Amino acid sequence: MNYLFHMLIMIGIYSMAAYSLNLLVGYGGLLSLCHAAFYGIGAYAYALLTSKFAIPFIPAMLGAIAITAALALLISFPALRFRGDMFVFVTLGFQMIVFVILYNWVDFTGGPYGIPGIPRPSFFGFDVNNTGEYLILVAAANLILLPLVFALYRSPFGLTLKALREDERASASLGIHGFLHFLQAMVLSAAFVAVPGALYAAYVTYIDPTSFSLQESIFQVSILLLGGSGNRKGPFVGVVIMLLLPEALRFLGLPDTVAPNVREIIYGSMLIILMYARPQGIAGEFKVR
Amino acid sequence: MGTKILLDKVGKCFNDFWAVSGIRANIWEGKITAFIGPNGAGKTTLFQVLAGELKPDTGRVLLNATNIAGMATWKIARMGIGRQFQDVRIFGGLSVLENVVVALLTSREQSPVESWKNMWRQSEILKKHENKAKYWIEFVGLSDYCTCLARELSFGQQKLLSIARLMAGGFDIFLLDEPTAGLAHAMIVRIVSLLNDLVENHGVTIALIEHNMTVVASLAYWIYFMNEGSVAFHGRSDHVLGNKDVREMYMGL
Amino acid sequence: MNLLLQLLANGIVNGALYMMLAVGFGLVYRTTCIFHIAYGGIYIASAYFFYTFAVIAHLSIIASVLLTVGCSAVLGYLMEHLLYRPFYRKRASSGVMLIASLGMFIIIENSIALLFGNEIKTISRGLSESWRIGPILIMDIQMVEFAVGFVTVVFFWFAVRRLWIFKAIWAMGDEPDLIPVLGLPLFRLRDVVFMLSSVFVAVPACLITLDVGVDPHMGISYMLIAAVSVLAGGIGRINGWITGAMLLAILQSLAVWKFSSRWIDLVTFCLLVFMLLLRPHGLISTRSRVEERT
Repeated sequence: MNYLFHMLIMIGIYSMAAYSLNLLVGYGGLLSLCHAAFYGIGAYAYALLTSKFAIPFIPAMLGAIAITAALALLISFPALRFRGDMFVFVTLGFQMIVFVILYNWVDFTGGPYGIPGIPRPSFFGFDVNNTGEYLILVAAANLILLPLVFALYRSPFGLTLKALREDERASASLGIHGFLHFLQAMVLSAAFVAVPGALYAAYVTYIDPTSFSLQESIFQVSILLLGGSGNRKGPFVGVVIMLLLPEALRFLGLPDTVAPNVREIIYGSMLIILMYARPQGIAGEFKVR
Repeated sequence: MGTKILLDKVGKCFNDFWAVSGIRANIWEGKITAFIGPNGAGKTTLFQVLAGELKPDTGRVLLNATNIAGMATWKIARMGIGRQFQDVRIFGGLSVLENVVVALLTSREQSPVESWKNMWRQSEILKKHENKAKYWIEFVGLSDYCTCLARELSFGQQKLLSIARLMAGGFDIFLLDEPTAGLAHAMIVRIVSLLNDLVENHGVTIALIEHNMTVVASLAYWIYFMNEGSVAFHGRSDHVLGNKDVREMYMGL
Repeated sequence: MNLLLQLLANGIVNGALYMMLAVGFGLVYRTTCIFHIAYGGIYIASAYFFYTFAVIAHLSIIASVLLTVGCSAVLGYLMEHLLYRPFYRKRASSGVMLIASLGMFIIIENSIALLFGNEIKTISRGLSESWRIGPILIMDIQMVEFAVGFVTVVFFWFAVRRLWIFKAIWAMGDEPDLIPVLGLPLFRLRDVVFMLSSVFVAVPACLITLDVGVDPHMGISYMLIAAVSVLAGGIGRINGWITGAMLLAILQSLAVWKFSSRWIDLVTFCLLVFMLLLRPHGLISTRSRVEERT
């Protein structure tokens, strides 16, 4: 039963991450390889606020969102000077910079040893202790966050992003300020992903930089490439498949030393096949260009 | 009769090559001003300067006494200058209706904060926009295609869509880059009558680049004949089209 | 001061290798518009080919290098035929190719990890000679790295000016569709590009493996170094790639001098971001028309 709860919790966490990235990738058309960096900053910010400064759950969560959004704002200015391949590469660069900082700034982030002893959430007298209760917390977070994200998708803001995605030059000729809206998309998607980041940190109670590396960014982008982006169906399809895949592999009985590498090879092959045969993913609207 | 846009000694150079130099021209208010000339004369470069995609190296572009030279494209668009591209550039992955609705949105509505404020009234607001959009889609005769994806339309239909987009956007100046290029005769006639209607009944100012002299003759009030980056000759339409040198140089007559 | 000089000397040696890496990457990007992330995969494959020949098969260093270069060229050829060409025939966009290349890189990196394990493999060289130039100490391997890197790049620089094939591939980078029209073999040219690029990554791979060793996860760092050198230096011109590479190597040395070696990757990216902000077209470049850019 706990195992089922665990899977559902991870689906809930990744669902929020995927829908937040969808705003930038599926609606904005900007492929970003630094989403795990924002996810990680959200996690670390929450972890430090709760474990080092003993700040309670909700203020710490808000703090994590604010810090992640602020860093995204900072990163957006240089990154959004570019589009296409160059943008992808610059985000890859930022992902690596954030990783290097998390790994090496030992005094602040604990370096490779990470941050242990992150307290489980507790608010208004409720203590979230077991997996079942954590699942309720994650579900509640989804119920609050996703409607906000979906509202953006079908709003004039979402439509404006889609127009920019289709043709930025034509959009400019209609008075649409590309840089501003891309900036909003980037900051919002980062602010949103801080929430699952914080929830992840509080769930596993110990985080280290390896969970927030380039590999993780590639994983999160792959969710959208596989399931599809630019609409509401795609990201969820991607989350379910990508999270169930390792479990399916486990049933095949691969030894633990070999399983991570085999999994990565499958992801790599999947990316190639998807790009060749179905660039819009299984259920998506946006085709990578 | 007033000047809507004044080009004052505008010049643009690329690595020592002057694509346009010393251009002096008026875009007349409420009329159609045509720019004709051989390929490479600098007409599209001039339009790119007007639209803000290029910053001129010399001269000024005055829109109602404000120098808009070098301003960002989106800013110039917000000041009322709309543009139709030579390769049309409609939003292929969006529906015809969405293409026009995008043009309708005010800059305030486009912000995410505003979107959240109106979260519970979204369908109502969308309906309002769609009704306005449908008016312009019907105006250009594309009502049957509202829900089609824009990339499914024919080239001519896409050009009509881009005009609907410009009308919905409320621009009072249109820069049209070869609006009838690549179209069948019936479609050309349709577009010409549409443009005349826009100027006569909706007070739109049009500047256009054209190679089709019949179209120029039936539309233009004033013509600028450009050659090798500068204005070789200009004047009232019949005056320019009747001029011997222009006919020889350009039309081979 | 002596430390600084030593670090700068090391930097210049690294720079010679980075120049080769940059050329290999830039060659592909400039002539096919492919952001060749799998280049990092060819790096590790080359390094492990070398390790296999030199250590497992006990062949001489020279023989191992030559065989490695051959195998890498074949790998580059296969990559073009099995991966990039099918996408090219489909007229895939550069974003699609980038992700496909990323997928290929992941496959190569993890296949090698499966075959050889994740630990660093080194090659023992016995006692190495070293020379003193003033306060600076240069190891024999560093002399070789510097000499090979420098000579190869100079050779290449002259070759580009003299041989018609380079004019052809440069043109291919601008307008691939025109190449068959001009009667030139488009696909053969692409083959040459990828094989040549693989040679340019294989040689530094051998030398670095000999010098410090290799593990399956180094590939991305070297691909990033190559990419940053090209992007910061200027995509269009070889002079840019070479300048970018040397600049990067020297900045890394300065970073080690001022801070510590842990922050080297940070330097790489800060250089990139800095350069892209100041001069988006790179250190050495030309302006282009709006239509060409969009």
